[in-house]
Amino acid sequence: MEQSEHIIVDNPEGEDGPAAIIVTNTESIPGKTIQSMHGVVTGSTVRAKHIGKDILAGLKNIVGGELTGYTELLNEARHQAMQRMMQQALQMGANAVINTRFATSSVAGGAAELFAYGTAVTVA
Amino acid sequence: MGGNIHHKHSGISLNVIMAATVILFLNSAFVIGSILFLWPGFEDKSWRVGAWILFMTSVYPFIGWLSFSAAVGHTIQSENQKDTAARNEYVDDIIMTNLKSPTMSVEDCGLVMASIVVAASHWQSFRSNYRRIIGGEVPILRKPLEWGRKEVIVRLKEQAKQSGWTQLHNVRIETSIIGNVAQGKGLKTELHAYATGARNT
Repeated sequence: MEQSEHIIVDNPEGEDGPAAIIVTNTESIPGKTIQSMHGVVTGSTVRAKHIGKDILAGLKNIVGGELTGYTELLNEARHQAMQRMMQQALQMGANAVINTRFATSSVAGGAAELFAYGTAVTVA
Repeated sequence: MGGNIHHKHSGISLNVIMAATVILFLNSAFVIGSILFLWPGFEDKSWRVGAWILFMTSVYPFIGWLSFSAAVGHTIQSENQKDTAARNEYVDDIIMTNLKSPTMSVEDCGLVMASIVVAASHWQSFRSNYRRIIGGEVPILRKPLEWGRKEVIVRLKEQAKQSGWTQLHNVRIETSIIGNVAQGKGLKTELHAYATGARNT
């Protein structure tokens, strides 16, 4: 468990350089064959907005449209949940996560839980 | 428990600040509006109409509040719709499918995500409350959601283009409500789209 804190999974979308781990939401990885399955991996985070963003979003709510503060917050939180999922997959010795799904639920007023889960596999 | 405490704290602070702002605005609106309206020197019609609206707003705050919400909200939402349609032209060449297992030949793939939080304006919430009395379709609440879905798909395509993907497979859009449902007006909806981006070089 100590090791997991030092694993940093960067560029999940392969923006600069090859991705450390392949993540897809399809049932298989096109062009590759699945060699072994490691089971379901999960990652979750609960985030609350801070008061300043809350007020700004409340003001923006008067005229409707996009609430940018919340969009950013949920994006960051979802990326963190995904990072945790990928860390777990790396710990299991997998090099890909397939059939990834996301779930969001609001717990207790101002906080939201973001949950990501998928199947860790080894592909070649 | 922790969540409850946080929620209570944030609610009180927000209410105090909002109430102080509203009271300050109403007081100044009442004073300025009544002075302008009763001032004998102001014979010009446009001044007197403006003063009348200001004065009425101070007596019935929701008139000014909702008309502001309706006017500015309509402008902003129309601009957003035009912007989304314009940006869609640049990313229209990306192939999108809903298939779990792509049938096209693919060399490389990875996950793409995009999300947006949309809310109806206070004016739209206000009107939907009256619509709920007779029931039926509520088109005024459909408008922001419809725009949100279009926008989130455009963002997904933009993300895909940035990462170098030419196809998107297994596109999914999830909808979740964040914020207090019982509060009504503060209802915010998160739209989250995700897909597997792929390319074939």
